[in-house]
Amino acid sequence: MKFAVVFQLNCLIALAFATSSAALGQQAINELNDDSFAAIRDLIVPDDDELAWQKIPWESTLWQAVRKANLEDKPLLIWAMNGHPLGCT
Amino acid sequence: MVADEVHRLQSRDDPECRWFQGIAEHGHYAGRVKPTNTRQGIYMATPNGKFLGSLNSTNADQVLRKMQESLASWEKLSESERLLDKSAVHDPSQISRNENKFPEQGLVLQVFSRDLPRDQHGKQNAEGKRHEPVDWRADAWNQDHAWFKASELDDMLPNEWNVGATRELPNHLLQRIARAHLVDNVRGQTPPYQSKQLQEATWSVEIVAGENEQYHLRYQGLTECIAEGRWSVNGFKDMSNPESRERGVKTALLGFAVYDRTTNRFLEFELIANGTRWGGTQYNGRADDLDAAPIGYYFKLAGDRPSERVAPELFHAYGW
Repeated sequence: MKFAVVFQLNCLIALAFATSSAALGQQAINELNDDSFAAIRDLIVPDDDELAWQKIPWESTLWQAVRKANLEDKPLLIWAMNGHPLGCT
Repeated sequence: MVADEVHRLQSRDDPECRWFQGIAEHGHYAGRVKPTNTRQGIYMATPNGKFLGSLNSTNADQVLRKMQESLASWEKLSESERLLDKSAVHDPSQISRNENKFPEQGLVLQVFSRDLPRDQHGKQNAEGKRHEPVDWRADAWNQDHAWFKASELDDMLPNEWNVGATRELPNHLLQRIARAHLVDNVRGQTPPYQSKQLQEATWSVEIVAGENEQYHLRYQGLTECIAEGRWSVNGFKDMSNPESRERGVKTALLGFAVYDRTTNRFLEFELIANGTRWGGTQYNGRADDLDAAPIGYYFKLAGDRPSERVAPELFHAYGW
C-alpha cells in the first residue's frame, strides 16, 4: 500500500472531496457513466504529494543498480519489499 | 537508489539474488524465520556486496541516520574493498526476471486502486467521508501494471472500423484484468482470483469517432469474482487460525481510448472499474473492515520510465 500521513495533505484531500463530492452527488458516485467518469477518476488517482516519492529516479532492478553503482563508484541504497515498491506492495 | 521485490531476491539462485542474500544475512532480519522469513527493508551496501547498514522503517529520521552511518563506513573503504571485480559483473540478460517478458509492442497500463468514499454503513456517500478509524488506511492507495501482448490487442478492438460499430469482446483479457488486477490490494498484497472464482467478465467496445485512422473507442463492461474457503485475515495475529470466509470484488467498467490504426498503438487509454469489495485476506489490512464497501480502480497508459516497466504483481496468474 502507498499512503501519506501528512496532516496538511489530509486537509487538502478533505477539501478536495468536499468540493468535488458536492458537485458529483450521490447518484454520480454510485453510477459510473460518461458524466461521472472524470470525478470518479479524480477520487482514485493519487495526487502530486502522494506521488512525490516517485520523483526519485529509482532503478527498478537490483542488478542494473549494482552495475551502475560499480561503474560510478557509489554505495547503493536498496528498498526491498514484499511486492515491488514501484509496483504493488 | 534501487527498489525491488524482496521475495524473489531472498529465495532464488542467480547472481542478482545471491548478491542480495549476501547482504540481507547481515541485516536487520538476518536468520529470522518467524513470524515470517521476509528480509524486506532498506539496505545500504557497496557494489561488491559488502553490508553497510539496514533497517525496516518508514521513519525518515531513522532512515537518514542509517544512511549517514553507512556513508561514513563507505568512506573508510578502499576501492578494492568496495567495488566488484570485472569477472563478477554479470550481464543482466542472464538473470531471469518477469520484466524480461515486458510486452514491447503491446499495451502497458498503470493501475491505481483506492477505497471510494463511504458512509458509516459502508455505502458510498457524497460527502467524502472515509472509513473509520481515521489513520493511514483511510487514504491508502496502491498501484500496479497490467500487460497485454501486441498479439492480444485485436481482442480489445472493434472488428469493423466504422463510427458506431460495436463489438462484444472476447473475455479472456478481461478475465486477466478481473482475476489479477481487480483485487482488493488497496491496503496491501492479496492473492489473485482463480479461473473458477470468476463469476462474470463481459465487455464491449464502440467506435464513437474516427478520423485519419485514429479512432475514439468507448468500453463498458461488468466483472465479478468471488472466492470461498478458509484463510486468515489479520496478518501474523490469526495466521495459525484460518476460518471459513468469502471475499469478492464486483465492478462496472467504463473506459475511453484512442487507437491509431497506422501504428497499431493506443495513443490514449483510460478505464475505470467502480464497484464493491468485501472480505479480506491475510495481508490486505481488512481484518476490521470485512463488510461490503466501495472500491475504485483506474487504468491508464504507462509512461517510459524504468519504474513503469515493473512486472504486474500477480504476473504468475497471467500464464505467460
